[in-house]
Amino acid sequence: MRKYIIKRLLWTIPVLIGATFLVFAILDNAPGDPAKIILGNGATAEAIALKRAELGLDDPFLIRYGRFLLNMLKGDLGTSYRNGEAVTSLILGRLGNTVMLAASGMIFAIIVGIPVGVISAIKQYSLLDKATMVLTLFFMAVPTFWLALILVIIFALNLRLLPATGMGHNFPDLVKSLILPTVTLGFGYAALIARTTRSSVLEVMRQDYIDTARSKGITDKKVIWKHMMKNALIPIVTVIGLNFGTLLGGSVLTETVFSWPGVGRFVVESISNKDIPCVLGSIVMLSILFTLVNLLVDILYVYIDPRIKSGFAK
Amino acid sequence: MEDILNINDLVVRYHTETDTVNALNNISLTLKEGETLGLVGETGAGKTTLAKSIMQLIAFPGKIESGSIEYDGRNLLELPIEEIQKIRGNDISMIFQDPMSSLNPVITVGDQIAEVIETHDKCTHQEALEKAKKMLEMVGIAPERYKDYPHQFSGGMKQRVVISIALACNPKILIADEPTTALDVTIQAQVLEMMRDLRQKYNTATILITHDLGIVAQMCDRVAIIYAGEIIETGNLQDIYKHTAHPYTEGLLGSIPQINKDVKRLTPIEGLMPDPTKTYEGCAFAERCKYATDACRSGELEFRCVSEGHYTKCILDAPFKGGEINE
Amino acid sequence: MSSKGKINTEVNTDEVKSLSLFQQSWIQFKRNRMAVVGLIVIGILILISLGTIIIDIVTKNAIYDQYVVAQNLTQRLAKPSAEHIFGCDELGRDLFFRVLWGTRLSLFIGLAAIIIATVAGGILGLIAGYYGGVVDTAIMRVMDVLLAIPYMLLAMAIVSALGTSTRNLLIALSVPNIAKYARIARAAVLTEKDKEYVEAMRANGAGDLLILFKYILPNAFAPILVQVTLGIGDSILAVAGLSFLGIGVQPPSAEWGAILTTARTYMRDAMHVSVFPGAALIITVMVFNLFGDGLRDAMDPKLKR
Repeated sequence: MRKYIIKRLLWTIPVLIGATFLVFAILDNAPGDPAKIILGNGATAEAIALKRAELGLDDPFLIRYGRFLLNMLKGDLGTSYRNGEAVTSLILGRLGNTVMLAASGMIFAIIVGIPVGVISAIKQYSLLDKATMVLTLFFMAVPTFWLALILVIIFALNLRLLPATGMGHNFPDLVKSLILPTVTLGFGYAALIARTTRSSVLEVMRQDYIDTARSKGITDKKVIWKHMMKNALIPIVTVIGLNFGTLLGGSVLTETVFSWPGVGRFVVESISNKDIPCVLGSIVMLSILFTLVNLLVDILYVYIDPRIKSGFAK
Repeated sequence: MEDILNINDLVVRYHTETDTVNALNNISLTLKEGETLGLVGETGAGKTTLAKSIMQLIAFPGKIESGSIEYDGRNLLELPIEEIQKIRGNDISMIFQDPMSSLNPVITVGDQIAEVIETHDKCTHQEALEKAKKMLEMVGIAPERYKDYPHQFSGGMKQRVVISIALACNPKILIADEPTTALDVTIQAQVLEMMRDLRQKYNTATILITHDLGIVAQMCDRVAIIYAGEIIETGNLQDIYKHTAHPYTEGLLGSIPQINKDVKRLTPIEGLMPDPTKTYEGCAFAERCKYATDACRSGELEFRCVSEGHYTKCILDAPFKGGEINE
Repeated sequence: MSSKGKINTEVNTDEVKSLSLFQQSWIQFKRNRMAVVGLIVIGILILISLGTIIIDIVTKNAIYDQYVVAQNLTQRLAKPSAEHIFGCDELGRDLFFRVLWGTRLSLFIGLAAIIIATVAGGILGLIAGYYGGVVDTAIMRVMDVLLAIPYMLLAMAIVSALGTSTRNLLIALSVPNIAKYARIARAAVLTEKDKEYVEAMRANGAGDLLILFKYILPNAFAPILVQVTLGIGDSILAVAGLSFLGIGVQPPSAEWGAILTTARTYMRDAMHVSVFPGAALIITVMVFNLFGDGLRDAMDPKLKR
């Protein structure tokens, strides 16, 4: 059991190194000379050459990557081309906000998605079930940014209930400012979780052990939440983990619409500023976050499904 | 002996998008205290549907259309779900066909046994767990294994666990739906042996569902033969095996290989059961019956008394070949 | 009859005994009304795309130039009317034409990105699954790396490095998906590989390529096809998302995501500018998902009810 977790943990290291390599290699092709970007348009050719040498830009690709990797392991993701600040501190200042938004979106999606899916499955073929199926399909098809804009128009501009953009500074304001981004980010995810839950519960419902449970005389509530859900949860957790990446992608759009000071919006700003170290650092950090969530999910499996545990014990 | 369960004119149908499937047609059956009744029929005859009807486990798209199931003077079909839940597992319990799938894979066997005890006896989880361990011991499993999960047990052991769940609250009626079909032959014998011992110990009335007439001969006092959702013959072992009064029963007995007879080849019953989505007149078995006459294909058939306690739906008086009761 | 399921399969096997897997799936698929509607709408969308392409060729872009990209500021943000049934956008361009002409770009990028990812991922997955061992490990570990970077972010990195052309958009949207299809193809091969018919073929001296393409690929086809259909919707949404971030389809091209993005400024006063392209986008994604769901239910015998 502990061996399994350690093995899984060790494997994430080469995967993450591979991911940094891939992103580094892609962004290495980005247009524009970093030295020119840093020094501005008025710089002389001499100054540019000097800056290039200082940054080590003329070194071969692998050397530059090696340097990046070593610095990264020391916690240094380089400096911004724009203002010379350390990328690490720029990102860390925003990462908490992204984690807060992502976590809140995920919790919203789970709290809404699972009960809706369960009810829909139990009332299969009912009007409620059919409506749920159509609505979830709809919410999975709505573009994140469009939903965001519509929510802003309704709840912020017309009803004036919630702030349109930004992040509140004290707790009540923070909660208020978190609501619309959370709903935006979580809706599609909730729809996906609801659909997965429904089909998973329908599958479990037909199993013989559900009849066994019923024939013991326990209440329907207990049959559903104890006997069905414990089994149905396994594919649901898989879907939640796998689509956390989509959630992070969605947070880029959500943060942009709501001017949420997170890493997602920072990536977009950095791309338009051609500030490659910031883009690179942000994508690497979000990939680490994504990988850690998947690691967590894999460990969670062991607790949900006893069959995995003994599979590894043998 | 008193009747403990009385089923009258039970009709169950499954409503699919396109068809209505007549699963059970006017089933009537009684079970007496402490007796073991064998319910015998082919796959698809309605055995499991009948068992699930008694447990009130018929789920959509199935529906109990009419009839009554009386237990302890009350019609189960008219009881509210809370009352049914008090009866399930406590007064009437059921063993399902496939032990591989009838235990919840993510709950320990100890908890699964304790759950039924906790539900019906007012006791703490700890007490229920202690009793669960005793149940495991009784069915021949080391009680320390209560915290293991089903996948850590073999098929035969799983069925023992299932049986211990069914018997944990000492029910008055046990419905065993092909309890040994999914098991190896040697394990089958052990499980049957154990069931027989437990039945004697607790005097539980049992409905044993099977398609194996050999098991019936070993285990049962009385037999009901079910065909296409109807009981077509019922009587005690002697009646059914020696004084067979229905050609279908004759066919079933004829299709058991017998070691002490020199049979050139087995004689399975030709043909298939009638399409359950279609209605027909007269005897359901007429299409496959070598004795059938025009009279068989019209009207509604009623039970006919052959001798005391022995009834048949066949209108013919032909002498049917029986079989050996070899235990 | 112990359950309804049993009866159904009995009836079905009688009905369709002599039909191929494809025909059986088709019969199953036709029962799902929503999925059939999805398929019909997809057909209409494809017809619209082809229709606009043909019109452009025949009229030598006359209609495109006059109605789709030509600006007419007198009609700025005009509300829907008999003349402009979807109204006009912020530059006075007829929205109906822009939405209609936008179909092919959204559809093309969505479809093409997934097809490229499927072909590349499929081949990698087939090879990994069939040969196993070191080849398998090497390919799948690279796929793990690809999967470690969130889809949208990888696409953003690619576009920002390569620039925003349609070709680069296709690369950006297909590369992150390769790993997904490689995994599906590999899993399908692994289940087929050890089946007796493959053993028999091998014993008869059939070569790897023959077995792989003639026998294993058709059997791996169903799960891949289902995922392709379900992936198209996602990739259409991703194009729209990139357009919104300013690194997708560039103006003045008519693409739904891009239209929606420019419409955001006027959303409050001129709702129609974002409603029609938004609806087109949502409907398109929905019908692909409906079709994909129907396909999965029809092809996966486990899910038949």
